[in-house]
Amino acid sequence: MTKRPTKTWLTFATAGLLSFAALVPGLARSINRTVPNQSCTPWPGNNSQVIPPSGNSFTCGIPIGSDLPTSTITEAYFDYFMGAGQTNPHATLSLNKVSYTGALYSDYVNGGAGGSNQQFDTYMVTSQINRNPSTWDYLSANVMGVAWMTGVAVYSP
Amino acid sequence: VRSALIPAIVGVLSGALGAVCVGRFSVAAPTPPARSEPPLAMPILPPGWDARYLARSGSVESKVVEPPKPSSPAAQPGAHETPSEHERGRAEHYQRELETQANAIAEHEREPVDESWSQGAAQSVRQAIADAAADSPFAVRAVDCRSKTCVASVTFPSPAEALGRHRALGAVSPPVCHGMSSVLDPPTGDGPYDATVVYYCR
Repeated sequence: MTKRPTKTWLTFATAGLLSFAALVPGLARSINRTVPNQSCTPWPGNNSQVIPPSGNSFTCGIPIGSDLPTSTITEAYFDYFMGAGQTNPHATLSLNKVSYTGALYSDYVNGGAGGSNQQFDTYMVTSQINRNPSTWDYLSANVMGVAWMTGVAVYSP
Repeated sequence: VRSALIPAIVGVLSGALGAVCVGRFSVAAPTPPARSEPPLAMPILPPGWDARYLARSGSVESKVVEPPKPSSPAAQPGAHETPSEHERGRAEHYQRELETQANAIAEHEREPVDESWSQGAAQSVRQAIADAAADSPFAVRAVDCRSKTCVASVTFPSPAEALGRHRALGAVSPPVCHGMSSVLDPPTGDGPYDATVVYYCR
């Protein structure tokens, strides 16, 4: 008598979990590194780096450790949500590497043009950041032309 | 089989409903991120460069963002090395980077010129660097685009200024391209210093 309800519940739960995981994109991929909101810092702030003509920008640091060497990042997915700061917000998403000798490498892609209060998934194939893999470097994701943004998740298959 | 079908269908529908709710609620009410200032630190002195350039770049050092250090001790260079071994490794790495950059420039020079693309691309690269230069002490000296890549020469007032402000070039993203690389060559004097940036566009 007790076997049948258990089997029914297991079937119900398994089917529910599978359909839930398949429909929520973030769960269907393995997350290598997520940039928390707290690490996103506004530009220009106190440093006089590039000020995009269309408005503010944010940079989010992603420290690279032994679990995520840059040589393994051949593709990247950016999942982000950005808020309107200007009439035409846009995002330029980049992965920047400063090697431990000071050399610069960057891959970038344009995404989220004209969108505000929307969620974006932007895909990028990398080439420069995984060239000359270095043992001391970092990645950053920059989003420009927005008033604020949520955290940027970088996935690597 | 039929008895398992109904709970399976109900489960799939419940999961889908849950996914829709999670997606809707997580997207509908995002909160702006907390703002904090970036960490401040010294620029990186390439191997073989005179340390006095680092001292002279002190006036701009507070404007340079230091990359976060790897959290794992094993990921840090030289964690199990003596300082001299670490410096030797860095010097070898620097040489390889210089060679790779020189090869990229040589490959660019061998590219045929695509007349329909090169002029507009050069203008786009020049404008992107000029926008960045509005707040930095460097100027575009020349931009050459061929059929797949562009090479830009950017002049800094001195090697010390180049050291302190080189990373500003890493934030320049001309829309016609999708990647860049730049390695600072060893300086030949204290005067104006040219940095070369290779942009990968097609």
